[in-house]
Amino acid sequence: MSALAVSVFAVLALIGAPLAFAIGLGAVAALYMGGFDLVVLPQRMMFAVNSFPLMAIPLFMLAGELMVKAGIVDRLVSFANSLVGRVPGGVAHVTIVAGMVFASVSGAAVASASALGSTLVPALRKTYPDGYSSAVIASAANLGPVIPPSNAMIVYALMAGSSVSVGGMFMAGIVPGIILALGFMALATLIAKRRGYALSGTPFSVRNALTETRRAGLILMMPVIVVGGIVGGIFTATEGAAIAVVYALVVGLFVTRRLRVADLPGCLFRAAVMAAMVGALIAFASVVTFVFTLDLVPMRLSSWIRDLTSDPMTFILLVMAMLLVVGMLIESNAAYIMLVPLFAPMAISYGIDPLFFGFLFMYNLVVGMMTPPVGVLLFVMSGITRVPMAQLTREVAPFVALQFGVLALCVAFPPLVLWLPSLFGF
Amino acid sequence: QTVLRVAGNFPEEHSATGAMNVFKEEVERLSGGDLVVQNFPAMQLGGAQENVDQMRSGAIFAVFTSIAYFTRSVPELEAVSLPFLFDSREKAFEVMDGPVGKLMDKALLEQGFVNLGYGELGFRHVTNSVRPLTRLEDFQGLKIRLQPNEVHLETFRALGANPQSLDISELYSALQQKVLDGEENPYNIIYTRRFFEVQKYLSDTGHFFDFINVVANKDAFDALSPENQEAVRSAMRSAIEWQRAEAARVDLEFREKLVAEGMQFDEIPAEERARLREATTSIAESLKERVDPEVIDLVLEQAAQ
Amino acid sequence: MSDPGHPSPGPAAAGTLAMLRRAVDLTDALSRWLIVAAMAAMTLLISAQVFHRYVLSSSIDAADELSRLFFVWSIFLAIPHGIRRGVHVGIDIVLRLMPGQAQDLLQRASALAGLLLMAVVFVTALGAAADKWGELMPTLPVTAALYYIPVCICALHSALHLLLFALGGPEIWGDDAWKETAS
Ligand code: NA
Ligand code: NA
Repeated sequence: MSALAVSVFAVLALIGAPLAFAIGLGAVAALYMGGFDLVVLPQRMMFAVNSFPLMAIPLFMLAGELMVKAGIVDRLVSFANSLVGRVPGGVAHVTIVAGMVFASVSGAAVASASALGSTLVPALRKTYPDGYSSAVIASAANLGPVIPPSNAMIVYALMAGSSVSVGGMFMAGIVPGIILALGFMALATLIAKRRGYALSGTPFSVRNALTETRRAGLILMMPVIVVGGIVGGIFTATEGAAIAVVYALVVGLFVTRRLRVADLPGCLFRAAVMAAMVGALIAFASVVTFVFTLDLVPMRLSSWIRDLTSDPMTFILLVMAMLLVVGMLIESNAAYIMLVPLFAPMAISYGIDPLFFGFLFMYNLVVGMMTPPVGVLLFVMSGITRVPMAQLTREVAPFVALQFGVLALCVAFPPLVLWLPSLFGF
Repeated sequence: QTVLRVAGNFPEEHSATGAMNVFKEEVERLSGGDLVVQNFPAMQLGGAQENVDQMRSGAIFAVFTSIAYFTRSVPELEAVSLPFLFDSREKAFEVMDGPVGKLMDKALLEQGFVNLGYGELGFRHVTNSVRPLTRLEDFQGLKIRLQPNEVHLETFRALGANPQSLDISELYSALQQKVLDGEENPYNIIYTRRFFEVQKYLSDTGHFFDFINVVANKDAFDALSPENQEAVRSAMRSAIEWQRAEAARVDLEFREKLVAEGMQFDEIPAEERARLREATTSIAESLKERVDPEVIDLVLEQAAQ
Repeated sequence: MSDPGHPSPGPAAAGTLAMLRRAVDLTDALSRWLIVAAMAAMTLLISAQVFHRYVLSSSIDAADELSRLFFVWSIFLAIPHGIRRGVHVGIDIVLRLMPGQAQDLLQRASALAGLLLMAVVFVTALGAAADKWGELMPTLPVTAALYYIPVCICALHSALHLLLFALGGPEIWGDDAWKETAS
């Protein structure tokens, strides 16, 4: 049954069918040939989506939409510009710093990419070719799922059962996220110097920096309240996401005054459509997981890997290598649904800290969002700037390499991931 | 050969999962290998509600779960979920094995469910982080997490508490951060979910007694030969008997483990239990609006005997 | 369907195809308002629940369940809109190596495959809804089949979109793919 599901999926995926449908048809074929009642198809789909923690996804997307319409991203850009505008690589740094702050309220890379892309491309265009701009924006956007809050972490924690908490995952992402942002900035400086890009941005002045910080103050408080509340256990991730929505709404209507009530239906609708992309994958992927369970794939796979190695580090490296390939070919949300239930329990039986494994697993797939042929962020950026995929792939290569470098660093030095969560008692 | 797929939502080490294995061995032995059971415990095929949907649609043969998942199709079952109804597990099973159980089975059958037996999920007890609960007044104002069930919520409102509904997956951290004061579960679940780490006080409130039931799809059951039907029923009797004994044996063990982990255990004195029961008598009356009053009266009468 | 950024004007659709396109467009507009309402209700309910817990020290019994119901509706109703916009990611590397004619054919074929999937989902979801009709939601006196109805609608609405792609080709919407209200 499972082999049939995988074959049907592979054929359909190769001819370019949307992955969610390819996965769904693979599962239907397997259930049908296995003599299983197909009614489990809608049942699985509905129950996979019908989950309180998953509701955080459209809500964080909605918060992102509102922040764009409210002119919050513009304020973040001015703020970043006042700090790092004049450094070589100028606007690229602005993008990364603004991206980092935006990431700390947005849960998703795709939402961050469209928000940053639509706001920053015009500014970047004055100094840089679109290919490079797109690479910088995609990288900055990819901080979204690493720096909390993070939809990817929510999905991972949900699939891993009770072994990791959302709050713990959130704390785990902060240090690697900061290292990553600093690394991106160093890389941007290097590339700007080597290619001789002109200086841009405003010269630094303390007064200007203070003014812009004050203007951005309410926005900078947002992650403190939302992430702080979630990590502190004051509210759940879903409730935190709803609070982010209310916060963005209030700031947009009364502080920046750029948001109009007439904008709201459009924001609600776009957030739903973006979340539906994740939802369709989750719905159909959960049917495949069901097929795998019927075929005892989890049990067979774990005994196969146990025969291969008993060393936890070898196991981690093996899983990381596999995810590298998976990240190229499969959209990350589908990968969480199908693979986390298989590997998370296995990691525990190897004596690996579930939080450590969870972060590495998630981060690897996050980088996969920037690797071809299936790289969601590349699609989004190519959509905004119309840079061909092949050129975009070349431009993001150093940034992708850097992200894998940080992954290797985290594997080698677990405290980078675990120190902060342990400080907070996770 | 007929394959019977059976799902359950209890963890691997729970007595209900053990009972699934007893059922498998017995039915395969009694049918001489004609029936083959595939067990999917521990939510392998999805959560309890999804398992019930699968069984109802005939995608799987049967499901081991709590009767709570059938009360919205068969409201009669709510009558045995009334607060402070049973004084002991022996009494609870005496009632369920008598005319009340027959009546419930009939109501389930009308909805296409063949009930194969009632096991023990257990008495539910309140834990909290504020004060020991020994009197009715102690419940006043406590924020206690309850399952989303009207009888449960009304019961705690009647006791003066402030009931809250929250997904069980969020419960631990809500208790840790003192967003909520308490929760209520059987000892077994309080222990396996590690609530003792974030709750100080434990009382033997025993306010509800929860039943496990095993329900098969009617069409799938009817499709079996009479001999195989008898094999299934007989194997399930053994499984249920085993489960009841096992659940009773481990219940006190779990309470002792909770005390060993540092919880303070308080008993509710008999006269206070009577006051608690008194405070919640209105629940049975208001339930009569949704459930046949005769069924409720029968249950109350049987439980009082 | 993986490259949302290169819309081009759709072929001058005429006759039946044009009528179908128009009908789907109107369905989309109706569905859009349902999605907006469901999303707004979900957001309001969750916010209200937080407010009740912290400010009023009380709880809305049905908040958790109702917000999940609105969430399920939002997601399943929005899936067809994702199909229209081609936001559902796929691997297009093989596709791009082919000549234009073959690309077009393959894309229509994968739309047909999607149509088949949606037909199966529709029929089985109707069955699931019918099976569950007699069960009420845990905290509300309405049928729990309400959870399966958006799955049925999603399948039917998606099937319409996929049929349009199969008949009219992947560029049927052209620049209108991202437009949010019916013309
Ligand atoms: Na984030
Ligand atoms: Na990729």
